[in-house]
Amino acid sequence: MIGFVVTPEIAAAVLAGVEQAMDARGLPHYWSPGSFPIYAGAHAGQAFIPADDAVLATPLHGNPAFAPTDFPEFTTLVALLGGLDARVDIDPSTIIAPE
Amino acid sequence: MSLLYSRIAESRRDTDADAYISAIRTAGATVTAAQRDRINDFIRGEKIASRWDSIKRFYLPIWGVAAANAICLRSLASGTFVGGVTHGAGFVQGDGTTGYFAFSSTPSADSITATSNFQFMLVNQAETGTAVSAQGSGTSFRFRRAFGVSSLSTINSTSLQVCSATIGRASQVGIFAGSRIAAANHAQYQRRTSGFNTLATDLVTNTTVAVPSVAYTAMAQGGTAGFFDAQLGSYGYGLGLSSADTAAFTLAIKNLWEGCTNLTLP
Repeated sequence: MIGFVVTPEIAAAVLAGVEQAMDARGLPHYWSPGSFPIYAGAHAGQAFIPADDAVLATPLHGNPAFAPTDFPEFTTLVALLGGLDARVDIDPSTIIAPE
Repeated sequence: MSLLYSRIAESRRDTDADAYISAIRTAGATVTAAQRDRINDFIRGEKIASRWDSIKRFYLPIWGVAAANAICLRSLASGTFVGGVTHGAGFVQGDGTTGYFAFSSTPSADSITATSNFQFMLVNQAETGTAVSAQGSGTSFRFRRAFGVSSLSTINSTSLQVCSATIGRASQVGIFAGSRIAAANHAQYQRRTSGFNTLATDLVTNTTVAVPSVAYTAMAQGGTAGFFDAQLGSYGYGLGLSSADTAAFTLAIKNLWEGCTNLTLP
């Protein structure tokens, strides 16, 4: 799965930034990329934020619909994550919570 | 047959339908006259049948836009899509690993009780995964697909007590509904185009498990487990419905979804 691997604190800050972008427009919190704990592998203990091309192209709001990449805040938030080139491809099984 | 919305007399246009249509249009949905008809017909029909007040959360995520898909037809509150979710024409589909939808409510806050509760989901295309998958709130109020053995899977409809049916993977489509109408009366149903069936009944008395106070989620359980990649055209919950009312309600959902999407319920 393609996305960003960051500390839980940075992930929380980015998700808060996404919420703020909706708040600033008077919109409900209808979307979040989400932050998922990594339980295993080299990145265990970090947080994973999904960010493949499909997620970044999610039709969010409006007609025609804006995608995450269309929002002015996108550049700032992605910079917090290290830029698009910082994305990695992780094994999906590493974010499945152990039973 | 649905009447043309524009020709419906003012007295027959439903204000709740108007409000929902206005909300999803503001969010980016394109709503045709035919779709407006269907929505108006559905809501009026549920009110005439005295089921409208029993519906607590009803989502129709067919609009291809996250903000519109997140709006509850019943309450107009917005839930939250998280992670990888495809917003298709007539359905939403999680990626099976991160994508899910969090209702902006909990069953307990929506007056769901131990002796009166109902949950449903419309599955247009069955999931492809083999792991356990779930939709619901906590572990005591949910749908759960378990035991992917060979070509069979067990669908558990849990309303404080488990009501379990085993059906083939290819048959895990259509509208699934679980309804508890009394302490010792819980049943699981399935509607397909071919008909309506009671999959299982459970007559074990159970009122001791607390109604969940955690958010209900679709496409995953709580956003931490049970992710699945089925195509879902509708989902929600409310107060318990009798077998006859469940049959009628699921038929109304079928007609609403098919009329709005031009798809056919499997």
